[in-house]
Amino acid sequence: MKHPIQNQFYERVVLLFIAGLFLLCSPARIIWATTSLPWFTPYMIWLMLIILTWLLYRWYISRCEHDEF
Amino acid sequence: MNFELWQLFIAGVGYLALLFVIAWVGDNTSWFAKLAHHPLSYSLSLGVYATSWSFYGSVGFAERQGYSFLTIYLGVTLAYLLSPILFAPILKLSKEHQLSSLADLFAFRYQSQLVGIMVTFFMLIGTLPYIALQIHAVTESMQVLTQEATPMTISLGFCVTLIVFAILFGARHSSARERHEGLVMAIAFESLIKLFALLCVGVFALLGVFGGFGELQQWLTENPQKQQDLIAPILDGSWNSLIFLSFTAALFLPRQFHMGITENFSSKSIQTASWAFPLLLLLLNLPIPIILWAGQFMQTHTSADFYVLGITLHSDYKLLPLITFIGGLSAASAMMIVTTLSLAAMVMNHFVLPLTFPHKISTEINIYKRLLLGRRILIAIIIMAGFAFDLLLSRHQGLAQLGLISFVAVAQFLPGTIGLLFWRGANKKGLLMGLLAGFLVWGYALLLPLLVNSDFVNQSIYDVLPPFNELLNVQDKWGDVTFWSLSLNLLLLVIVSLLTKASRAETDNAANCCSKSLTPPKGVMRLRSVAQIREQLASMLGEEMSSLEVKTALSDLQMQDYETNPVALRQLRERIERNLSGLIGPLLAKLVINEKLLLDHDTRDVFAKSFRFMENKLEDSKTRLEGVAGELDEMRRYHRQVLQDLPLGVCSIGVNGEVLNWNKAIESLSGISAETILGEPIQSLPAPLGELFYDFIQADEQQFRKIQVQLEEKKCILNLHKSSLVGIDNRIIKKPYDTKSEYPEEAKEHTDSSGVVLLVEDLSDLQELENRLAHSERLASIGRLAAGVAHEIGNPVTGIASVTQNLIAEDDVEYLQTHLTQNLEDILNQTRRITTIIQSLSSFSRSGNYLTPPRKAVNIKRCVDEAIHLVTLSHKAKHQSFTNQSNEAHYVNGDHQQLVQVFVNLLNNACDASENNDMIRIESMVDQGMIVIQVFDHGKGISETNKKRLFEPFFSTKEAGEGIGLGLSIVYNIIRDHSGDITVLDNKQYGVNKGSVFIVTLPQIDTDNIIINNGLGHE
Repeated sequence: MKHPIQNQFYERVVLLFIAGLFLLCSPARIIWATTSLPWFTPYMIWLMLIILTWLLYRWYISRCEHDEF
Repeated sequence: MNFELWQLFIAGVGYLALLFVIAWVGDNTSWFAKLAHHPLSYSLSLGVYATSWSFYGSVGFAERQGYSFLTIYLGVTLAYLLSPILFAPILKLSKEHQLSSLADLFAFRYQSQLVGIMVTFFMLIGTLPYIALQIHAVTESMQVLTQEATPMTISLGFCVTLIVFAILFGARHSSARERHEGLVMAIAFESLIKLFALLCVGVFALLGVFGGFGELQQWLTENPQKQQDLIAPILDGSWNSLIFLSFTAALFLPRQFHMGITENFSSKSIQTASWAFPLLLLLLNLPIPIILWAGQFMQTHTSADFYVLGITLHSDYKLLPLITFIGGLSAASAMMIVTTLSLAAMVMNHFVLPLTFPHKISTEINIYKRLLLGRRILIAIIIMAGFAFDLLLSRHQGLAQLGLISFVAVAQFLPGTIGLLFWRGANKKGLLMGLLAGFLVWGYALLLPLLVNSDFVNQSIYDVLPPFNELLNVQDKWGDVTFWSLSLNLLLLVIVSLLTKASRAETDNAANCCSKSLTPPKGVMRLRSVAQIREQLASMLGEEMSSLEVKTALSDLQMQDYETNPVALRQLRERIERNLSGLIGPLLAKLVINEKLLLDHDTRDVFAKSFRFMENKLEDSKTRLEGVAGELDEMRRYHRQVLQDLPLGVCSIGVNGEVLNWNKAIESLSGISAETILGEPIQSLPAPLGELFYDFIQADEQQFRKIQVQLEEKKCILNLHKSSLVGIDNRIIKKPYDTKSEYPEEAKEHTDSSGVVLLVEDLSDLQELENRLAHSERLASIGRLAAGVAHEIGNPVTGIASVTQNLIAEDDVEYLQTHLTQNLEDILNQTRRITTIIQSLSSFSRSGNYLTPPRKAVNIKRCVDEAIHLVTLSHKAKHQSFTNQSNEAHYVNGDHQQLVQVFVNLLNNACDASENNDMIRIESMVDQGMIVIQVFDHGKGISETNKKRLFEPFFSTKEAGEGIGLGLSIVYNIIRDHSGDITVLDNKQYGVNKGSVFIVTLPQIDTDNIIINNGLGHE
């Protein structure tokens, strides 16, 4: 029942979600959770995730004629 | 720096009053309402998520568990990233069915009042610690600022003030179904205040306490343990559990559901919120580590939970602690107001109304006022329950701990939501068992220790029931409790759902919730007008409420009060149910509507409405189907368009005689729009079409040819064709209108696509052309006969002249007396002969529509005789001999004149092909109920190539000027009109060497009780 752009968007949303899970919830977080990095590193990762989300939604709105979900 | 209690009280009340003004302006001014509809306002209003736990408690949480405090916001970020998958379907459902809370949603999906009650109860129990946390935080913050123990009356005063404000602020409407621009704006404003206050404190901590970012870095370098304490918990086991908990909290916390779903104005707002709301949370949390370190650096005497306030007391700006206090108050009040509004709606819909809703509301009762009063009382009760819970709690409970207890509680709704959105098999029994188990684990593992620590429950309970921590050797408290409660919850939901059967209503709603269902609504209204609907509803809801609800629904649908179309009335019923759902809950609304606005599931046009419903739903769908479904839909659209644009009228009739399809051509022909007739019985068509179509469907014939009907001041000639559609087991349903058919009920249910399709061919223009051509052909024939006619008339005229001259010349009186009578009789005979010739010619050449004469029994032999008589008038025919061997007893149903023309044309044709003195023989016989008339000639014969084109108009093998090639074409048309057939064969097949035989076959009629049509206009 979805437009191809919507499908693409959904796929990208899930991919970004998985990337977010990988960064934040997997043991890979040991990479950024060290004292050698600045104390605000978690914020930077968080901000990066927000920016990527913003870019993804901007991409969707610019391409989908009926940009409701 | 200390503050007096009254100063804080005035500041607090002043701030709440400001909020009230914002809410009032938001509800009453259009430009402010527009601002509320802005996606950023929506995102800011979602900031209600950040309560006093975030405002004050995050610092304490950070001190105890380092960066784990961020998990409470990272989970929300991930949840909002998935908003198209998680929020959009819930939003759609809630809007479509006016569901204002999670309890409404669950009760609607699982079709159970018990589900609604249970969800409400658990939500209430799970949220009370959170409300207590807010009261606790505000009271503690006052204690920090006044440096003295805050009396209980202050907490009570805060609660009462908030009750008053929540009632004035949020509960100005009788139900949660109205969108509140004012509420959205006020909560958005509160988020800004929280953010501003925290950023102010953060800036003060950075610049006022440390002196700048460099100095902070310097301090951290000197105290590496501080940074280590913050980072180390990231790798702890509880990190993921907390992210998961906040992920679920973003969906299920009552305040989040209320602001995110109930108060949502547009699904587009969620797109902005998916990044703007996490950004707001990030900004709110950015100062937390700095405030923590500032508190540690300054060794503030307050607990870490109140460092936010504590450090500001050391600033030179007296306004800063006040701003911070207002920020904390803002966080607490926003949470309490929105949560209590949401909980009050749940309790009203699932506890109060099902128990107290009267069977009939008397006209004296204003139900809206009662509902409003009820909501206000419930708001007061819920806030006071939170206050009571706060009194029970130990003062040593951390703010984050209280919040997390609520988070684990609301996480129990996750399995049910999975069932709601993705698994149709989940049923209410499974949900109830799962929820019960999950909440039992939650209560045992989290609520009980809270109550034991607060001395509300005696420690001795642990003698009977070992503590959860010891029972399962818990390492990660939040993770383990979440895991066990949710696992048990999910397991029971799955197992019980698989083992038990869901009700029909539940299954239907499951399909509706899991995907965009195309299932059409079943049944049509028994009531036939808006007035009847109003009257019926009034018998239960009272006149005032009934009128208002009907009026609102009519306005929503832009429908008129005089509407009687069954489809429109059905839509009105659904709209009223949805509107009532927002007012009294989905189940009670369904109950009222089902009891008062009855549906007729057996009505004949149900399928038609369903058919149209599906068609319209597919056509109106904003999104398109994809994959195989998409290709099939493309084909469906193509075929639909072909049917619609076909120049033939197409009308399909359902198994119960209802019109299912009415294309453009038939619209134009009949002057009846599809909108008017679809779903109606075929016989309801205005005369003469209704009767004609009905008779045609009932008839055994597959076609009616050249039927003349009067349509809108225009005479039309129609050809009707029909074809039966195949039903189940490939059986043909021949008479769809016969409701007493032998098909079983089961078969009827599955023969939705069966029925009859009628093709209506308008031949009016073609017929007029044919008439003109036929007339020309007749005139041409008369032209060809002219010489013979002159000769035929000449002979009697000569005879008359001769007799007359003899009489004049005769002098013998006696002779005259004897022969006068005889001579005059001779003259009269000759004039009769002339009259007969003229009448024959006149009749033959008569112009006009040859369809109009009524069909009567026509004697074939007489027709042939008359035709021979006419043909022999021609000069050429005088040299041929004609033998009419037709049987006098052979009659056909038809028009005498037309049949004479058939034989005239055939005989003329035979004469043209024959040599002088050739014989032309006409025979008739009966074969299988048909009269077979054979016209033999001994002419040159017809080639096989010419035979194929012989009956085509304007096809002629004669020389130019001898014929226009219409004779046999007209013969063919007349014979077809008489339901007969004509073929041509070689005489060889009859043992003769040359010549052809034309074989005309016409249906025989019974000669008993026939009205004889003798031709020449005489019957």
